Amino acid sequence: MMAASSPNEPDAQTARFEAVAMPFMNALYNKALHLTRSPENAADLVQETYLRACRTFANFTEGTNGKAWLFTILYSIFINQYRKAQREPDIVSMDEWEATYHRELADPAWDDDFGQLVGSELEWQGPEIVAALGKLPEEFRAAVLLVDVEQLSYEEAAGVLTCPVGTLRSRLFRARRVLFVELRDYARKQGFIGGQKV
Amino acid sequence: MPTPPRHYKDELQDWLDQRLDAATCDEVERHLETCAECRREYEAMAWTKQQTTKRFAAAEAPAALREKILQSLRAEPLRAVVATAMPAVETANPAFWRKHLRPLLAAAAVVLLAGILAGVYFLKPAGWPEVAARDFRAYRAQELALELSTGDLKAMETYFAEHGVPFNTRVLDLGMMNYQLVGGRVQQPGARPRALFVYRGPANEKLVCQMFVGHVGELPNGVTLRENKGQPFYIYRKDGVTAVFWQEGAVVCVLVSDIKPEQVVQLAFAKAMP
Repeated sequence: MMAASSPNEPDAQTARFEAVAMPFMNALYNKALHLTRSPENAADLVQETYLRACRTFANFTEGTNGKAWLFTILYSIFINQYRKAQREPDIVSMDEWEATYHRELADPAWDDDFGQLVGSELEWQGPEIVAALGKLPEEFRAAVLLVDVEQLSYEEAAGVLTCPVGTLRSRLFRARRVLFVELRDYARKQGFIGGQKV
Repeated sequence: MPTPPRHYKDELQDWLDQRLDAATCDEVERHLETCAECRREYEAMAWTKQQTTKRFAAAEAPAALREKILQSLRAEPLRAVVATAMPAVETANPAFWRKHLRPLLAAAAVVLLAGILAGVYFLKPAGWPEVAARDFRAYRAQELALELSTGDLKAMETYFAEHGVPFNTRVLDLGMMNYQLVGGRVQQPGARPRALFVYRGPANEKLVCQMFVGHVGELPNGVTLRENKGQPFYIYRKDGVTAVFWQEGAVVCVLVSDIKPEQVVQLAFAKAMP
């Protein structure tokens, strides 16, 4: 199938591309925002993603996951053009946080505390999750966003991050542990758990 | 002496994400009834996932962004088609396009015309693995002539540099593995040129390597992913031909052959550079 067999085909192809790609703009923008932490850069990154995707649309296999394909392009541009320029926030040490996680799990007060934690979530405003997620190294953050928020399969998310599925699984596992410790810590500081609520 | 019960750390996450078969699900479920440690781990993981999924409200993209993107996609009707035939240039940002769009489109239009006249078969939706396998079969059937016959790696690299390949081709030295360079050619000159070079093994086995500007993220599904020293390799097999892709900077590399699949993989592992 030639890409330009008739004078009308470019318009048709652009329309086809738009039909496949444009429904995912909010998801792309959301991901770009969490990667770049800047609305302006996120908008540029999304626009660049669409231009690149349109140029390589011939490589897209219809019937496969268009969202995963677009995320792959977005992530590739982010790695090449934005990541080097941006300063990472204070990243947690994964090992340190995992050690804390294991201590929490072994705490005899776990069952009481966990019950309070689950009950406390109604009083949360929401930004706690964003703040906790922001403390994760980028590869771990991306794994959580792709699987838990964007609902990609492990295979699709691994494709986006160009890493083996086993690596994706491990990042997700560790990221969830860190997020749990962060959120539990937040709940404790707010007095929601530990019997000190004021 | 009885074996102490094992914990189900890996399976817990797979269970949560619905990646376990029914039998293992039952096994994990039974285990959780008696193991407080695993139960706590699961509770924590499930609650965290629930929070992330529920509370991470997707930000709405600015309304103006959609219009801006649609305008840029539609600004030049030929762009979508023209650009697929161009090398995947690493653009700095959208400002790059605003500045260079017209000259690039003019150049690309010439490229497209040449491509159409030549029959741009690389644009087929088949994708890179099929193209790489097809080139290999064509070479094996002696239907793909080499433009330069040489066993000299440097001479081959110089040839590519002088014949429109827009990156420094690293012709692999496979001498230690008893594969000798035979020669090479530039595939699809002018559009997305690919440096193609071939090797002959000790029993006259044929091995084709190609390099071109691109990103492995554009590879189609159906891949087997392997990792070596932290570097991912993308393996496709069809009709007795194995193609192993990997990324080197802005360049995609692929080794293709009909020898044993693992041999192709090991050759790629040995010679790939991150």
